[in-house]
Amino acid sequence: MKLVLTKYMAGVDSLNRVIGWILAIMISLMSIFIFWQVLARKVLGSSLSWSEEISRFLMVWVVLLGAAYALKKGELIAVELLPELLSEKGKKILLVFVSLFSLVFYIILTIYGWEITQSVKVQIAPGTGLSMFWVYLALPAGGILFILNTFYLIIEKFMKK
Amino acid sequence: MLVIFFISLVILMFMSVPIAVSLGLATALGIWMHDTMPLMTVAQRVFISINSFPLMAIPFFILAGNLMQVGGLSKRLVNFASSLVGHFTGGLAMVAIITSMFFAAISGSGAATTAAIGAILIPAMIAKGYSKEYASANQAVSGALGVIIPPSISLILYGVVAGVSVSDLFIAGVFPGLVIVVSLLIMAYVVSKKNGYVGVEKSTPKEIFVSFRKSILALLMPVVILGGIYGGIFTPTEAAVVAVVYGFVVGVFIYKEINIKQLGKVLIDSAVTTSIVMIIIGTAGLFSFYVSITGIPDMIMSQISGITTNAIIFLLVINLVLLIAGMFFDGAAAILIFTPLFLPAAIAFGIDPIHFGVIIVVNLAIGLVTPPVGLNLFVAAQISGISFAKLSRAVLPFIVILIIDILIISYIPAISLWLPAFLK
Amino acid sequence: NKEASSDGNVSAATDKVTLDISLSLAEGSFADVGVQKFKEELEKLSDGEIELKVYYNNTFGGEREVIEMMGINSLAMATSSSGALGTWTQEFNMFDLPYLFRDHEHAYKVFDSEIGEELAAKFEESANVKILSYWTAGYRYLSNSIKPVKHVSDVAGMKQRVQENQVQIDTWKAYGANPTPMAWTEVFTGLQQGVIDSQSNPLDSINTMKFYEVQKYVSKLPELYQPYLLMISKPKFDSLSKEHQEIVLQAAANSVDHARKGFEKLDEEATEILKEKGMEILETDEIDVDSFKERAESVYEKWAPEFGVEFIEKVRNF
Ligand code: NA
Ligand code: NA
Repeated sequence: MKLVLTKYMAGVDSLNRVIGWILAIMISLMSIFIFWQVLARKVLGSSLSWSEEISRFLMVWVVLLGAAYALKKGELIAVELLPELLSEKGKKILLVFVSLFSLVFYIILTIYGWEITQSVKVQIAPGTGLSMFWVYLALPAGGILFILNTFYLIIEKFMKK
Repeated sequence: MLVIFFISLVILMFMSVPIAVSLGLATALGIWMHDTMPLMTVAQRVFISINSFPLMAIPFFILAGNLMQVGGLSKRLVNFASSLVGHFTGGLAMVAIITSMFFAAISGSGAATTAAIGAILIPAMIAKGYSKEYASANQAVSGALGVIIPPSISLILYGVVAGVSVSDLFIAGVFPGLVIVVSLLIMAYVVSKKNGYVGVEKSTPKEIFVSFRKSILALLMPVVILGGIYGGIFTPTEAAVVAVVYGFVVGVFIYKEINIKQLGKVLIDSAVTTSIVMIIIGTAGLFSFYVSITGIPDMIMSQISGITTNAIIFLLVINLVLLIAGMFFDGAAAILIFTPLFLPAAIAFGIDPIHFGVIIVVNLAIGLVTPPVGLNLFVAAQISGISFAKLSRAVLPFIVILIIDILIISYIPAISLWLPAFLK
Repeated sequence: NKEASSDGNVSAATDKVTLDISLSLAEGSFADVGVQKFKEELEKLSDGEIELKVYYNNTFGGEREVIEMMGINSLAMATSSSGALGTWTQEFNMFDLPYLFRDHEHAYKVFDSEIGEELAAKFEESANVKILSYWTAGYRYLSNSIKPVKHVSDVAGMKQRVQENQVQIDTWKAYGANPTPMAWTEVFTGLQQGVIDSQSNPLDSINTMKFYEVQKYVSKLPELYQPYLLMISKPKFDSLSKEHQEIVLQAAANSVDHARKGFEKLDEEATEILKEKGMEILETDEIDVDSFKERAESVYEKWAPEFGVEFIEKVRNF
């Protein structure tokens, strides 16, 4: 059992490392596309119809994946009042409750996010010609990463003696 | 039903469920109880709230700020400010304030400003004999200038929600920022006089000139950003990306302080900071949407007009509510939630929406340094290594000063509105 | 006769239906004129059983978002110009083709024909949203801050705001201008600061958006003509009783003339208001429209095949 959990944690660790690099690439592309847009209009005198849209879509992906990534690093903003008042054991119990409540939201994000990707499939974004499926997919993708990282945090807390 | 919705929000937040998740979950509960609305609305609204072009200025200004810090611009700004005011009583405290002001004109975030300048000046102040508490508190408060002096994530967000010009808001933030700078400088002098914090050696004119020359690229940055926006060269979002490219070129090619490995880290850090801010924008947008269709804004409007018909009292009430909100809410969430609730009433009371935006943003900037949720306090405490609780006490006198500032800014609209009107 | 509610009780209260409708425009706008008529008809025909609750200024989101919400039954009803509909049904992009319609009558004839019906059916299929009736958003007239535009050479190099739409970009490139795609929320500031010089919208919107504060000239160039649509969520519509469905359809049909006439009236009044606000307005016959049309031919060559050359010809000569 312990081996399975250790393997799970190692797997999630690697996944998050990859996500980190994907985030770096996505925020770079956003910068490049919008800077290109400025150059095209200012210097070349012709406008791009796709740059704004694709960058906006990348931003949505950055936010959903990045927030799940931040969760694992303990960087999501919270009111850290109650944990300060609790003992180590109390903190552990609180973490379980916080995780369970959070999981409800992450599951909503995943399931209903997936449902909405299905209903927006037919929408074609005007600038890029991309199906909105690929954009909304960020919701369930982020949701799944949230869920994986939540379990990671619980295991980590209870394995550390 | 609404009561269950609000109580669940408070309980979740108190339990230390992340604010973004608390807002999302409480609203999901509300929508689930709502008779007709499907839960798919939750996922869709989170998406819609993030998918906005003006908001793209947020990742860009965060990235630009990080590039400046790693690229060595903040270091050069510190040297320049130090050559100017370092020799006064409380010199280093003043350097922290002045450098934060310069850096705020590049960075859009309060926490980033605290981190960038505090990393250098908090250790320097402690070494010079300032108490850890005072050094950290002074820096946390100066860092709040990050969201008042343009560019500012908070002003962008307010502009998007209120439907007013982000450029006008940026310009309106300049003088309120300076009012706070002056009040902090006075405070630094008085405290340092009392505690015997003396200045560093006075710089010669030549030294001042050299440090000025070395920091010129950093000082030009705000000129590029604000001049570009106001000169009609680009939109605020485009200006933000120009700032990114500028910071990249200066850091990598001119100062040569950023290598490829650091660049990777800067990119990941910026993406993560963006996500932390914007996931709250996503779920706060959902929350605010749900609140607005339940008719709560109308209720508040009639409540307020029932209490008072006096704009002065109205502003006092608003400031009080926002100060309390700023204690618990992150700034982004509070702007998304409170702007739609209060703006219609503010307009009815004859308050200019630009001025009102400045009032909201300054109040929530104070929230950056009020416990229990005070981002700048977290950052400053981390740098100096003192406890959050200790820093929370040390910051109290500063909060009194900031409250006086917000009253001045609230009741003298010209501080906010004169410059945008003058530039038109 | 009353229908049984889900728990088997029969009562008048369970039959009361409230429909939320989201408008992208303000109270008193041309959209509101149509919606108020629809509301009046709806409440009259249903004896007050169906109530319409009107939300202004994008409470529920922009045009793309509200259509999406109706598709998943998050929102009952909305009005929208045809701009966003092309996202679901590519044929709606045909309304971005310049000089497609000669005048209101021509446009109305096409909307009311089997062409309008077919478009609506396709849209219902892909978006899960029912188009109840075709109102009008008329011509998007050109406003700018530089000079009176009479001839196509007057827009050379002009930074014109277009919607994020390749047909509009191509059209303005063909004119020799510098088309700049820009989100609606940024247009006013963009005009104010000179990021863009010009834009096109119905006169009523130019007035309600206060563009006269930052623009001096209007040319009534009859370039882009768009329908304005009254829509209802299909799942919402299907959940209504047969009787109520009939009433919704009837009320929508009864509102068409009023909405169209209302638009035409506001459009005319806006001309006078904008003149009072200090704008210089060039009427259509004062403009060399042909000089624009000639340039726009290349746009037809490129885009008509996308919709079917014969189909576009049929619409143009309807
Ligand atoms: Na700033
Ligand atoms: Na706070």
